[in-house]
Amino acid sequence: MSEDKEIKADEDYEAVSLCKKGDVDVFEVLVRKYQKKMINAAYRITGSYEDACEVVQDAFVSAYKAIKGFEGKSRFETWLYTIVINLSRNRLKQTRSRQQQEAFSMDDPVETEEGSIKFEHASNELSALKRLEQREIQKKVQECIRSLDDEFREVLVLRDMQGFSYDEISSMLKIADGTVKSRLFRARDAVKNCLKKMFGQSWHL
Amino acid sequence: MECNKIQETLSSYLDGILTSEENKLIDEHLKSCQKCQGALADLKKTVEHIKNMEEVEPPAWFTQKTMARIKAETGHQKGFLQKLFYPLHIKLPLEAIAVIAIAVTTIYIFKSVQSEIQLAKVPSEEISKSEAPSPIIARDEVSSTKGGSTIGGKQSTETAIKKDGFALSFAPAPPLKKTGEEKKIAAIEKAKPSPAKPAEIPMTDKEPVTTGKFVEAQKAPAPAVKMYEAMPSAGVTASINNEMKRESLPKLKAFTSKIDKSFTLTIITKDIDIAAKNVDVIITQLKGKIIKAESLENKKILIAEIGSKKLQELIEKLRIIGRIKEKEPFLETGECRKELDCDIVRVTIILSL
Repeated sequence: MSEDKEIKADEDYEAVSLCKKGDVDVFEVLVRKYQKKMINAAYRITGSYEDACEVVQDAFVSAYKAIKGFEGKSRFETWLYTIVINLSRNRLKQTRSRQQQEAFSMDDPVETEEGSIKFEHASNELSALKRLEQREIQKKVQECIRSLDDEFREVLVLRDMQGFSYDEISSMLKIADGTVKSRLFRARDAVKNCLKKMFGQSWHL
Repeated sequence: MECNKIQETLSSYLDGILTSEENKLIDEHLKSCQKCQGALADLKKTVEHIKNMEEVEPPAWFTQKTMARIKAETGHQKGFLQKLFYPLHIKLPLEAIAVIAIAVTTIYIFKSVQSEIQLAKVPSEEISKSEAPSPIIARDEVSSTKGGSTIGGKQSTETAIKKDGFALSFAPAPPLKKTGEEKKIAAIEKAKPSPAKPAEIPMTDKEPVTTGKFVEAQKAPAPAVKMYEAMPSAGVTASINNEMKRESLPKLKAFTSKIDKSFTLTIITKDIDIAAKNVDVIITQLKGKIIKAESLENKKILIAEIGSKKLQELIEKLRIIGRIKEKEPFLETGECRKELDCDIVRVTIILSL
């Protein structure tokens, strides 16, 4: 529908042009603009905050190096996402064998070479109880997402977390439109079932 | 439609990507199907949860580190190289200036050295003899920051004076043995008024009589001139009066210009060696100095400097040694240059059989 046929003008066109000419400092603008989104996407895909930071940094560096060849066929943001997803996938493959199925808490500090990183929670106006509740829920959701197969997870993250259109997802992941739809359905279904199991009785509350 | 099929489409239905016809169908079904209603509700909730997932924040250092890495791997190198290769319109003038500066410096140094050598040669024209090339009056001048000791025309001292590491020894007459010893100043270097390099001055013979060592001390902080090469054993001496003005370089020039009169004496004697020794003694007594001595087959030649007032005395004493033949009339007192000291006269004494 209209949503799928949307063609968004690339609001980053000017910045990208400057970068193509070799202005490295302009690129910082783009980094700041997209770093959060990218890290979140990478985080949800890889399941590791530390990995996500590394992956996204790699992605930005690769993007800058390749920017002269960027032809603007897609928006810069989309292009960048593609890089992030690819690198995330690769990272997953690398770490999967080493991955330990530990209970994963968003609040556990993550050890990096920079020292422990604590998740920086967005500020929340809810009461403490509510916040606690929320955190519990989110833990569960994260678990369920993690348990998905890679290709389902990717589609789910891009659609429900990053807000991309079917068309955009289709071009980013290089899959057919129909595939996007079916994968999305199955991903959501799987998470739903997973959550239902986890919540048990309280699901319906 | 069957519930299963309906439920499969609910995802797309939720996203609003179905055609209007399909939507209609589902709406219809949902009206009456609780199961599917429930399914839709679950789906909505799930997506809600997913969407409500809290976003994580990037680390505080993320941007900076990323940019630093990018610059390190790309742009920074460029900038560095760019710094090496300045645009032409800046580079060329800079290079031109650099070349000129070097050229000027070189010429300046060259000229200074040249003039030193030339002036060193000047007095030798008067003394020119033998095969020795330009006998140059070698001076030993040590700048002493300690205020120096000017031994002006005094026989004050002994064999060696150590001065700032300098060991100056001046062998007196006997250096006549050394023929053709070249005395030269290879280079006269301007030295800072700091301890001068100790020049090894070979002590030749230990004749305690030293016709004078002199150390001319520069009191002024003017750059000192120091011997570059070893001084020949023949004591190079010059008597310098205290009033001698201290001039900066070239010293030699200043020095030689003080001597405005010189002349030659020939003394016929039976024993040249003894005569030479006697001459030495006499000169010393008269507070003069022997600057140069050369020995030839039948002759010895001594060049001495002596105060002009002593000249008469010298001649009288020399008569004792032997018969004197004067080559030039003396006793002339010529015009003296204004600011210079006129007292010093150079005497060339030839001793022959």
